[in-house]
Amino acid sequence: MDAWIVNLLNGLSIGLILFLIGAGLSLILGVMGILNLAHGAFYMVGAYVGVTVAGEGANFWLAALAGAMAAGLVGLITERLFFRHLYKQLNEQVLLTFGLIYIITNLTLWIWGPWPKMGTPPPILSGSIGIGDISFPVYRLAVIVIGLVIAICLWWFQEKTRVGAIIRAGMDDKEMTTGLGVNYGLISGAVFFSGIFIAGFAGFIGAPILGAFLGAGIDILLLALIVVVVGGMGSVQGALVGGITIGLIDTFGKAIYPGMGMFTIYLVMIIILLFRPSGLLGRKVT
Amino acid sequence: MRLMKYVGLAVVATLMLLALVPACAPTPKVAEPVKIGALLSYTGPAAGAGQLHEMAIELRLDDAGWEVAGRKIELIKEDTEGKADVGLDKTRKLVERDQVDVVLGPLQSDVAFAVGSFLAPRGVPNIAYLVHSGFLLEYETVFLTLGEDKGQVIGFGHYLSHVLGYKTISFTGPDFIASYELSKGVMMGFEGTVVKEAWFPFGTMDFAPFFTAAGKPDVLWSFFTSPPDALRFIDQYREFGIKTPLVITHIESAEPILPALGDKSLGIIGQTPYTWRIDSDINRRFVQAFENKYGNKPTAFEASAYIATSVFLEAVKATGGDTTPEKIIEALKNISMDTIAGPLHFENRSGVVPTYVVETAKLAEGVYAFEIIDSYITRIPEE
Repeated sequence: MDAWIVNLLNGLSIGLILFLIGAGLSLILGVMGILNLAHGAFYMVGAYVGVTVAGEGANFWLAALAGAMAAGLVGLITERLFFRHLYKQLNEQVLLTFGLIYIITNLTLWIWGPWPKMGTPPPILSGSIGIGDISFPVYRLAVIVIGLVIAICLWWFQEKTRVGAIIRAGMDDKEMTTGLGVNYGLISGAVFFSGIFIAGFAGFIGAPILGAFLGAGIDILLLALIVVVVGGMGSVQGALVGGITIGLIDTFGKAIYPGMGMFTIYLVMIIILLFRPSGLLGRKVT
Repeated sequence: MRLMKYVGLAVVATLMLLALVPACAPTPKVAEPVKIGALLSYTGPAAGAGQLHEMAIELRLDDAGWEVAGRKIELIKEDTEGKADVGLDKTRKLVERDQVDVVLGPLQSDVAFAVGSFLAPRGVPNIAYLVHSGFLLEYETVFLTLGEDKGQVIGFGHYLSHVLGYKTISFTGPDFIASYELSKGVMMGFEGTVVKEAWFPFGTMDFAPFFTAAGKPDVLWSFFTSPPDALRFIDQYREFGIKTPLVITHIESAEPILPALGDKSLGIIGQTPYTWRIDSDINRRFVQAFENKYGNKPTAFEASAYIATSVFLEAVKATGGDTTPEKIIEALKNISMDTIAGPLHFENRSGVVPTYVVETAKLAEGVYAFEIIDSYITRIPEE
């Protein structure tokens, strides 16, 4: 019984980190139609910058902000320099963002060296609580809470604010929205920045569990894509459902059938896509 | 006019014939530089290791003044990207286009099999950096510098049961040939029973599900193919407060992750082919030179590439500068030399060299290192 509870909580904590990773990618893809394969690289920037800032003695939340801002700024620069010239050119976007992964990874290697770093939870969130004869780290519980809080904030913004309504309208019909006098370009830029900001934030929040490592560019991207595909593009709810589904299935899959570990989440993804090609909560995107 | 045309053609024909002459004349091999091809992992799962190997190889060549037995040395570096197909392509280029005299590396076992299978029929010597599966020795030009997987750890298995007194053991590591070979090697020396084998898939980031999968043995043996895996596993293991003692075969997870772990790394007993704390003159000089040039202490990664390069240079010295493949391979088979990891020679192309049992200790605030608590010699396992 204890093992089940531990695995459930593990699955949820990983699932919520996956939600944070996928939410940014999903929003950018849904709102701007941009497939940003460098998403994992921005996660990595947030992790490295945040862990370094925290290592200098800064407060946990300040370091999280620093990491997220650093990622957001790098994202903004790439948007201004490159993305605005590649509207609707999917092949070019794929090539560009894939190349960005290598550039950002190499810059990270240059600045921080080849060895990975580990994040540390803030003092009030460290330590563990006993579940049966297993100690469960408090920080993993905190990640579940942090993830849910962010999910609620993003959902509220998406469903209950005017800007959220404009974004949703633009996703459904861009011509009509701009025809109504909305400066969609400004909003797109803001959404792009926010998506990358969340990715950088996820990097730092995930660092005490997953670390800051050079392979994140590809490894995290793969997970983000699976979350977006399974949950459906363009909505916070989709990323949340996708993240939690994958997190739980991956954790239970590895605990029950360790030999099948490499395969379980891909199998689930295939099954879900067979029945719901746009993902569990996906909107049909034009 | 016609005459001019014929004269012109004759001149062109003569020039063309003259151009062929140098290609026909025999070029003395001694005047040509010795070409070393190095396969490095700059990108891919072991990204970062490539840079370390390059640093070590270049330091060794600096020490030698970039020449051996009167010939200049040329180093050609290629990125395997951690992929077997890319490694094979780069090896083909090194052999066919660059015509290297030896191929050093690669790091990853899967790439090593692809590379070895290409080099052996062509007779090109292949000197590995670290340990690999003994199966690689079926390719007749492969030399496993620091021994083979099984042979590396027989002594460690023996240490666990006879010195530390453990009676039951579980194994964890990536679902990969190196893990299977190493665990078999440990069992050749360990007297006791296996509780569980909990291999995790490559790309696992959260190891929590595997902690319970390992059961409740006296000791959990582990192995990692990349520093981020080792860092995450040990950190998560400590966070979950698992009581079972953890031991690590540190072939590819090295000392630099210790500061990132801090006090969580203390007390873990492990086994490594090299640590900068080896107490010998030759090693002290190497560590000093490495630190002077690069500003940090070397780890098993750098040391292995340094030793592989040394071994090749020693072979070229033994042949008097003759780099014909058969002579080099013969020289390698007969090598007996002192290295930074201890005295080394080959038996059936598998390195026989000391390896070290270590315990992580804190030397000063924020400074962690391995403390050598025992050592033994790598063995050639009897099949």
